[in-house]
Amino acid sequence: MNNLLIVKNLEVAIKENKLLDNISFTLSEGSVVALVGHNGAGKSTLMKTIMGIQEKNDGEIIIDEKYNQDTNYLDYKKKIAFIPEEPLLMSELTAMQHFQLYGKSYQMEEDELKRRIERYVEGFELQGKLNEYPESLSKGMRQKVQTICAMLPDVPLLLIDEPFMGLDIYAVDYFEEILREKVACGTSILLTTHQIKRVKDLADHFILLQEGEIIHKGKIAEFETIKRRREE
Amino acid sequence: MMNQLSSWQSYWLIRSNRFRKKRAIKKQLVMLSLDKTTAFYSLIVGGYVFASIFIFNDFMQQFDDYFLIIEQQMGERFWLILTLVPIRYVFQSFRNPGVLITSSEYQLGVLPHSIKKIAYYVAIEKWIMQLVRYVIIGTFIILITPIDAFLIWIYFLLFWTIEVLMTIPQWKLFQAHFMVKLVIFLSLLLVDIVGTIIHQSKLISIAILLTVLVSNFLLRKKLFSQIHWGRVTEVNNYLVWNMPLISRATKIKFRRERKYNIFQNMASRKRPFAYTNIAIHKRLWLQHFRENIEFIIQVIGGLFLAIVILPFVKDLIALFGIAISIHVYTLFAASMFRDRFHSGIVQVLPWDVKSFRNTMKHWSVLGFIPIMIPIIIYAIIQFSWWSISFLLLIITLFIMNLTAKMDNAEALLDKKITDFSLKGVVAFLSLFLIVLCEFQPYISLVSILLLAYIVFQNYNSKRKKHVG
Repeated sequence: MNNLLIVKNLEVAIKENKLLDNISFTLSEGSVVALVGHNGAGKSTLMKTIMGIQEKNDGEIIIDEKYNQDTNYLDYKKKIAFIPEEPLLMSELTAMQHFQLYGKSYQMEEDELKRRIERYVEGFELQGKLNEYPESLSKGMRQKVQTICAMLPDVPLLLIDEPFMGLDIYAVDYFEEILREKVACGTSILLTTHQIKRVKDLADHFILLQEGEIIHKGKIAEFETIKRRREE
Repeated sequence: MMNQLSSWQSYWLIRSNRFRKKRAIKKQLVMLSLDKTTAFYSLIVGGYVFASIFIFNDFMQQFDDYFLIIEQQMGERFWLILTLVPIRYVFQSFRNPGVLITSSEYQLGVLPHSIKKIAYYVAIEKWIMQLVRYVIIGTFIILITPIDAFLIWIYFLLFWTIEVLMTIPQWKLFQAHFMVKLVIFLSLLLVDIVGTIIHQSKLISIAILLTVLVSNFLLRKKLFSQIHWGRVTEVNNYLVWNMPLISRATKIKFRRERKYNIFQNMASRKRPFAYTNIAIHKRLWLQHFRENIEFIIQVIGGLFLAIVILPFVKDLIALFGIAISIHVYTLFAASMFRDRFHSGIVQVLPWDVKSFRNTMKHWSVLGFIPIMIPIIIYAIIQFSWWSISFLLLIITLFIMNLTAKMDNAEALLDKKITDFSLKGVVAFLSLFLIVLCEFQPYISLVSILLLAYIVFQNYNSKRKKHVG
């Protein structure tokens, strides 16, 4: 299988403080990798750096062998959809307007966009909420809107920061179903999680981060547990 | 059993911790910008400058005549100023409730404390702080100026009394509908203007003061009914934690949460977009401009004022001012453009930069109109018939500079960082043509060449797009 994402010698620091140090890994097409680690290990920073929101000090990030974050950023961005840990919805846009913004940004055809919105809205039980502003929605509903947004386009790479945060059990099951579908179509997923059990069936590899460094990686079946901080 | 904190103690805990946190942030800023040696020498230089101005030389003595004029005006215009001061609070009520209840104070209302009590503490603290501030400023003015001390104290007493009396009206007005505020604001202005024209400022000021007193009396029982706490805390959080110096030094902007806006309830705003870039981007731009409205007004207003004032100084300086204002405004427009991509959900989306640029184009031109008005007036007065080619020069230079800076912004967004943009340097240097018009107005005829260049560039880029 080809490598879809290549992360090489990545370093992120704020002044002297290194948030990520010498991070290197690859993600092959259609694979799911779980980023695990304690709070503050650098998982979200790594996600944001791949997204390009967090500036890196050194290293290279390449998608599909030709889209380099440093030299081809605008095209590079088109290859990724991101679900942040906290919904980033805008107060000025309704749920439907958010979906349209995503559709237009990923240059989706209107008919296809409508079909997908209809399907996901039904699956996530958001009917009747399309013309609501984020403030009128519960936290879980906002998370659902954000999740649908990222599920709408067909992109080769999905970055998901804590995929099941704030979702009810039915939504979690439905979301898992969509993710499996996406993977079957060749989408690669990099996700961060604290719910290892939940993603064990979904992910095929793991990367264990600690204090901004990769301390272990391998097949998800080989993953045992994260030691408590005070045991280290 | 632990003793429960009283409401006052709980409030004070929040206040003192906020003070400590702010102090720690400021201290960090000072440590970042100054080391001990620099701080020491700066202190000595500062002390020397202060001493040489205020102590050793009678520096202030040369301004005595001005101060006497100010004193005379203060005496004569007392009643007019009295009518003007309350308008300030009505104007503030558009964006500021006047009582600093942030989400932290509001949280106390969730605990076993009364939010009403907390609000009274906040208001009383504000009055005391303001009184202290006025006493310090008043004392300082009395010490360094020859203005009659009695007059100064009367003025500060007046300011403070109105501050106290306008607390309730401002608080309630902040909750009121936009139109209510607008009507009251315009009515007060109108009454003031009429009072000045018919020389009845004294009567008007007494009437306004009485109205304020009556409104305090009437509103006292409805202080906490129909309060939009979400909006109050949103605005106050911003007011408390927005520290411009820190933002500038750390390049981290404190953004207002803005969960509420006056357009949100309009049904048309909730309808899905027409599925076009123009419709979607228009909303995104409006949201971005609304979020930065203070900054936009400051920049455009500042440049407008500069061009209005500079011709009174010297023509050459006025022309320099016009050239710089084009540079500053286009730089500002390009920075607003880039900033759009680094806030909210847009930062995690793919960017159709060209389309965003197209949809922003007319806003950039619209923002330049207030700056263009004084330039047009100045050009007509200064250059007579040459003003036509002079204005054409201004417009072409504006387009050239805007294009160069937006091209650069586009490159930066694509991380194709260009430290040196030849187009940008040429556009900047060509601004000096404006200054040269002071010596030879026919230099403005270069604008015809520039216009031809712009038309050619436009034609070229359209053809490229067509071929692409």
